Parts: sequence; C-alpha cells; structure tokens
Amino acid sequence: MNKFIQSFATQQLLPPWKAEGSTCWCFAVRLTERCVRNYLDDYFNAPYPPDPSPFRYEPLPTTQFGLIVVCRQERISSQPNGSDCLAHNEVYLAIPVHRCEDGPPPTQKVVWVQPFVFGDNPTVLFSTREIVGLAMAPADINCQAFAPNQLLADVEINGIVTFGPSACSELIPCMHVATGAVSNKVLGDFANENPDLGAFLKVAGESGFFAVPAPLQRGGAPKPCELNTLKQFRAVNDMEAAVYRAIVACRSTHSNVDNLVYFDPDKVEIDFTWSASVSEMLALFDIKPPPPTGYAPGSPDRASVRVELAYAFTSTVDFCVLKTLHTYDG
Amino acid sequence: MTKIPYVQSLGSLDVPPPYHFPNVTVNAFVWETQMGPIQHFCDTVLNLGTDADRGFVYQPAASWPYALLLFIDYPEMISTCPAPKGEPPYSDRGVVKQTEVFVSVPVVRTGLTPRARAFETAVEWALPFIVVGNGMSAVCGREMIGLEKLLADISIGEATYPDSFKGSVLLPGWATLEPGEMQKPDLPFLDVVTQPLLPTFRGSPAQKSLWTLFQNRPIGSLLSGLAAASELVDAAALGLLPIAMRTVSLRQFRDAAEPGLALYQALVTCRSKYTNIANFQFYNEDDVKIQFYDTGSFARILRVFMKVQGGSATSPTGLACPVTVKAAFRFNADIDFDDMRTIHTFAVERRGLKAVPKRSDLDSGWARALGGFFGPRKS
Repeated sequence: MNKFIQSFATQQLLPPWKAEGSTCWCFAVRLTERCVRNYLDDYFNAPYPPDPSPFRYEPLPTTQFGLIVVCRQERISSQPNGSDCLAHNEVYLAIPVHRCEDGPPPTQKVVWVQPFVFGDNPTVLFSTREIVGLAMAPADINCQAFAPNQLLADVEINGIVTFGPSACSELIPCMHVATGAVSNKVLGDFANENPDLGAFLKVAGESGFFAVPAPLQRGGAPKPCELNTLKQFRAVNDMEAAVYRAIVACRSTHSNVDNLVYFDPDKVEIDFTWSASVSEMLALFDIKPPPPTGYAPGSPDRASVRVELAYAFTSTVDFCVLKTLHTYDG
Repeated sequence: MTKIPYVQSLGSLDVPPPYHFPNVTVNAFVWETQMGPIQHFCDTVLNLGTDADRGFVYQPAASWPYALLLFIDYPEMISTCPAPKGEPPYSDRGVVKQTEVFVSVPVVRTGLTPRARAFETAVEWALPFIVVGNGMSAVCGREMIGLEKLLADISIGEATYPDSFKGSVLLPGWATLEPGEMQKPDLPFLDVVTQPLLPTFRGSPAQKSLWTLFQNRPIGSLLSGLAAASELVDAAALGLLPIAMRTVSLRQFRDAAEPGLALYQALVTCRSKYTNIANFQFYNEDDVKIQFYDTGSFARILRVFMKVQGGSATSPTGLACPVTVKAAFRFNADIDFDDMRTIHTFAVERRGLKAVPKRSDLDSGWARALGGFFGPRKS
C-alpha cells in the first residue's frame, strides 16, 4: 500500500486508542427479529455476486435485544504515544448478532454491530467514519447530569423534520435519556424475572463488555468485544457505486471496571423524536412516522422505548482494529 | 468491471453532489502568496510518485501568484444528484444551509509529453484549507470528493459599521502541543474585519484602492469586457475571481488496521461555477484586517499556504499572522458544484487483493469538447 499523505485535516484519532475515565450507561431494549434481519441484509449481507462475502450475518436465535449506550469519554488518546488527547461523547445502538462462515469448517461467532452512532467530536467523527467504517453522525450531545448513578442527556442533530422541496435542515431534537432511580437488584434478579433477557445475556455475555455485569459478578475481567463495520466510499462518477467497500473487524476491551450501578428499568426514560432524517434509525425499534394525531397528548412527535435492563459503569477502554475481514473487489 | 453498490440509507444524512446553491453571499479577499509553500504543497499532495509514472506535474500558477480567501454563506444547498431507485429525489427532501470558509490557490497541471502538454495542461484550484459549519457537509466533502473539510465554528456578520464585514473561524485544536494536552473545542484560527463597502467616508482614503480603478470609465469598460469574455472561456473574472473554479484534491482512504497506509489515492476535480453574479462591491483593501493565529496545532496548516516568519510546524510562534490584502470584495451569486471527475488514480498494491491500477482521465476541458466534436462517432 502507499504511504498516506498526512495533513492537518487528517489529524484524526488514529486507532489503536485508549479511553481513560470512560463512563457507559447501557440500556437493553427489545427489538424484533425482522428489524434486525432487515438491517443485516441491507448492510452486511448486501449481495455482490462477482465477489460474494464469505460471511453471513444472522440475528441471534434468542429474543432480540439491543443496547442503547451513552458513553462519555473524558480522555481518549492514540496509542502507543498517548498523543492527540481529547474528550468525546457518543450515543449508539449495539446489537449482538451471529457472524456465520460456511467454512470448512463452518463457524459461528457472536459479534456486535452498531446500526447508528452519534458523536460530538469532529476529530473522532472523521476517524470513526474514514478509518473504522462506522457511519457516525455528528450531533450535539448535551449531558446535564452524567454521574455513573445519574444520567440526563439529550441528543440533537442537524436534520429535516419532514422531507419536502422547501423543507430546511435545522437543529432538531432526536433523543432524550434519563436514568431515574437506582435499583438495589443485581443482574441475576433481572435475568430471573425476565427469562427472555436472561437468555439474551447468556449468549451476549460470551461476547464482551456489553454484558459486563456478568463477569464482574464472577470477579473476572470482561472479555474483549468484537465489533464489525461496513466501511465504504462512493465512486466520484457514480454516487450509487462504491469505489471501496469492506467489512472491518475491531475490538474493544474494558479494564479497571468500577462504579457498577443498576437502575430501575421502569423509571428509565428513552424517548425518540421522530423526523424524516432519523426515520430509518427509528424503524429499528418499529417506530413509525407519527399519526396525524401524534403519539400522545402533548408530545406529538415523541415515541418511547421500553427499557428492560439499565446499568452504568466506569472503565478504561482499549480499542483497536483487528483486520479487514473482506474487501469487495470490483 | 461490475459496479459495487454503495449501501445507501434513506435516513442517512449524506447528501451526494452535484449541488446547486442559489443566492449565496461571498466575501472574498485576495493576497499575494509565496511560491515556496505552494510548490511544497504541490509536491507533497498532488505530485505523488515519480514524474515518469505520473505523466504530469503540478506547479504554482506563477502568472497569478495570489491566494483567495472566501467566506461563503449558503442559504440553501440543493442536491441535484439522482436518487437511488425507488427513493424520493434528494432535491425533493429539503435544503441545507451552511457557511464555508476556504483558502484557494491556483495550480497548473502540465503534461510531461508533447501530446500531454497540448491536451492535458490545465489550471486548477487547490484548497489547502477549507472549513464548514455543517457536520454532514464536512463528511460529504471529505468522503465523496476528497476535499479535506474541517468542522468549524464560523461566524459571519457586520463589524462596527453597517455594510462592513466581520468573520471568524474557531477550530478544535491543541493550543500548546505539550505532551498530554487536551484538545480545545474552539480555538481562534482566523479573524477578518473590514470597514464599510466603498464608497464610504469611513476608514482610509480610497484613492489608492483597487475600487478607484474601477470608477475610471475607460478602465471599467475594459475590465467589464474582459469579464464578459472571460466568462465565455471559464477564466478569471476581472482577474480577481474565477467564474468557474475547477478544484483539485487528493482523495485517499486509510487502511483500517494500518492507518499510516493508504489503500486508495486519486486526484479528483470538481467544477464550482458562479452565475447570476450581482451586487459586486469592493471593500477598501487598506482597511481589511486578516489575522491567522500561529498557535499550537494550527502551525501545521498555516505553513501549507503561507510563509510564516519564524517558528515551524512543530514549534509555532504563538503570534497572530496578518496578511496584506490586495483586493477585497463582496457579491451575490448562484453556485453550481458539479462535473466531478477522478482525473488520476495512483496505483496501489494491496496484500491479498487485486492491485488498484493507475488510471488517468486528464484531458483538459477544451480538449474534451474537441474530442466530443471530432471524436469517434457514437451509435
């Protein structure tokens, strides 16, 4: 490969990077198998007959859950030099899925995909999109309270409420998260009370930090978590074609995990504000455009999702790119 | 070669070009530039590989040794790109408003064989610095056409007096370059202040201003004639502003696992065409104050397009760097950003994959037109 020509504008957060003083608030929400499968088929299983991917992505055989994660990273820096220190907030949906390879021998591995990511630091935004291949969208993430035992955050994006020739982009609300009361229950209690969630945690727990309470309770360190992304760039002369498209595997590892807190899921508020710009994202939760009368009195464009498990913790995160799993060769 | 589909999301905030921008307001400032930094930019960013392999060379345009700083306010950005099948046209989804600031310098691409010298020589505009106020505009510019747009806090307005101009750019950066220093979200990078548009009783006497030259009837007619003629041949209007600016940029993608390596590198050109130019008015250039700030991580960008006295890219002076303005003006126009072309793809060897072959499509605009007229018959 050629040497990349560096400039001020390409001074991105280069992987591998380490985030110290990271706080994650995680909210497990139920998804439908159809929505997860549609997403995987559109993005990871999209056909390209001349050079088919050896991988097939499938929803887990359990009830489908995803984790909405709000992550506040106080200090990230590129490794090994610890250069380019910066702070960053991000909000994303992560879903565990099976990555299947026909083999021989056939393999099946639980990996995570992130259908949407919002970030508020452009240095991280450009790195995440252009190097890692996650389609992070720029957003204002306003955290009014962000202690591990309390989160009150709002996400706003520059988008369009309803598509139309004279509609204009503006800063619009997208998402609201509030944690409410801390719970005295532990993970086992939530899993026992909710068998679907228990089955999900059993599968997901084998795949990394998103089930961090489980290994913590056993006194062990969380396993590394593999994230797969679709990295693609358009062709200049045909914007519907990709001049480069590849599946990339990354790994995040959490250490120094502390300050684990559970919240009462019934008291957690996660509200999405519908807009045309995020309609596809909301379709993952089966949230459809608002009816003419609105979702509910007084909140015409808002829809809530029900949280079934909510927890927060602090940690140090190490992130690296493992490899490019498959490049679609044109 | 079969087309690899780009997986486009209906809800994606990506809006691909071409774009139509009606009724933009442009504040433009021209200063004399030094050849050294621009030649270095050409050599490191545009003249990749060897001359023999590449077949052309970029150099600063010695006949127009100026840099152009534009503050552009786009009240509407309309994508005229056809939509993916079954989806609503981009132009029917809505418009985006944004602000943009860039520095551009003319560069000349010269072919290295007699045939290439004749047909592939072209004047293009390199943009060593470009910032926008809209995050997705930055994303689209960077990923789709290789314009290395940064996201900035841009303010555009009036200074103290009516019809004056004040603009500033704040950028994320590192203020001191000390090890372990945290990034600041909004460090001052650029400030511009003018007096009111001419004629005005405020500020310095305008006798020496370029504006005075345009008030002279014979000179004004001559320059207007040149402007009209120049529009026909896509050259410079009044010698100050290109009516059709063809930008050139290096589009490159990092390898995910080894980000110091590029898995794709190509030169991309796009046309930025100004039409319906109206309200063309001058500022007194003697009263224009432009200051770039040579602090922290900004030292690296400043030295790309200007010669800074003292310091270096890794050791900034910490001082404000003023520039002496040769001309300053404001106008309204419609801008079309279109005709995107990959003019040269650099060969890249890739482990375990087919190599990206070298490809060129370098004929200059007029040669393309001739080729279309006299070229092979199309069925």
